[in-house]
Amino acid sequence: MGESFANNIARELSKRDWRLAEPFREFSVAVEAELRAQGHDPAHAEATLIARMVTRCYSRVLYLACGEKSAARERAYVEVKAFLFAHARHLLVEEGEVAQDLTQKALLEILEHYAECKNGDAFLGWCKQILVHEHLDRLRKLSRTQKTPHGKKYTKRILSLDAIAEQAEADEPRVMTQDALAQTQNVVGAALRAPMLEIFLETLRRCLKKEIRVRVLVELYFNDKSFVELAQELALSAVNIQVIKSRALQSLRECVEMKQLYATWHA
Amino acid sequence: MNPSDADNIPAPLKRLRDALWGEPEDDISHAKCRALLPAFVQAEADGEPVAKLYARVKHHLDHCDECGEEYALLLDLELAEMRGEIEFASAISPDAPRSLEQTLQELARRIVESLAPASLPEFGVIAETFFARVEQLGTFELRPSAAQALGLGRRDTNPALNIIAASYAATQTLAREITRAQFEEWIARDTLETEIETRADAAARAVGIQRELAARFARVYAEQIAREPDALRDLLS
Repeated sequence: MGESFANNIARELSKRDWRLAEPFREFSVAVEAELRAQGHDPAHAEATLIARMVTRCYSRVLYLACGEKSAARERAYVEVKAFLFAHARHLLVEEGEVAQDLTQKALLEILEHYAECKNGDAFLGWCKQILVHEHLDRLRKLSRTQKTPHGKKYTKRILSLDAIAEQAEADEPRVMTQDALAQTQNVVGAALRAPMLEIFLETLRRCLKKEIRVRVLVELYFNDKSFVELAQELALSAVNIQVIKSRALQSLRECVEMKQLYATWHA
Repeated sequence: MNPSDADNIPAPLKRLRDALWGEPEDDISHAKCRALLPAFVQAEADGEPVAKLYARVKHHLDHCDECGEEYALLLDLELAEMRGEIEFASAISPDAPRSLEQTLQELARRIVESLAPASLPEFGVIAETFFARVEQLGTFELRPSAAQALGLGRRDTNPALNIIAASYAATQTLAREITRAQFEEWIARDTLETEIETRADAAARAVGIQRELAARFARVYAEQIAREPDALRDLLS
């Protein structure tokens, strides 16, 4: 394999200060094999794709090193910690100290539950999941307790990411252009017959009240779009879409009119 | 009647119906869903057909906000990483302010990336050895005798070692010779890059780096300092 391929791998390792890919030649061969297994030609793979495969292969390296009783284990945990901290800082841009606490808590969880992770390929993903779990746990605790002029007030738990995602629905006019509205109509129109379509869309709009909720549900369930596609199309984060979807489904579950509509169709 | 009993309706409406009032027997456990989430997110980011591959996970996500939140955050992190928005370099040492050694390593690594990328695999090991040796020599000063002891400037010396040493020497020279006020003045006058380049070139040659490499090193070193002046500013009195 060419020098530039090896350089790309080396650059990715260096960027993250990952030092356990020894011997380098062997690691490089593993990345190449991973690319081929995914149906890509290593000679023409883009740098971003190579970066993903490096992370996947290095995930295995770290997984094995974390389980060893050697000097590599200590280094592996240093690298896992740095990896987690980079992600924690991304989640908590303006809260450096909280990001450190979060990293520390997640690392302790990883040490304690290491044996529960059985898949080396997904080890770094598993570590990230523990970090995200800790982050959500913290947000949930914050949402339960509110300070009032009379002291602390304990409130019913609300969806913890609401605050983060509020902007998505507030930005509705930006997102829902006339084109987007017409597209919603077309997607549903392709799936349902005309009378059914009109009744369904009318009911959906009455139950959901916000057009962005209609759009998200239609794209996910009628157009089979993934979160990645939808996030890109609507210029929203996956978290935004999750909150909109969750609120929309909840509204529909409580909507008597929608239940009756399904019952009528069945009859 | 319960809407989940309905059957004679188009597929998209069925999908929505299942998400709203879906049958519990199709569901997987909370723990099982969580265990599959990292692989699910990875597959979705890779563009694989997750609706088919992980139908039961998707079904669970329709009903479980807790897993849904975790999934969405993991996916956002995965996408951010793919777009290069996760900053790894500045996160290497979460516990303390960065030491001189860490600052120098980061600076030197960027220069190696630009001038000798083939040496990157050995960079970490070489840097560790270099700083251990400098510590043994017991000084921040990199005198000619120390440079010789480190084997700098020889034809067969690894370029990464030359660049680390040159970065060290240049930084040491600048920290000794210029003040913070002078540094700010260069920035204000827009002469920072030129001033740094001249001094870095001289410092690199003083520790035995060959003329051509020293010149190329000095250019990239100056560019890096101009891009992130804090790396050097913090060392100046």
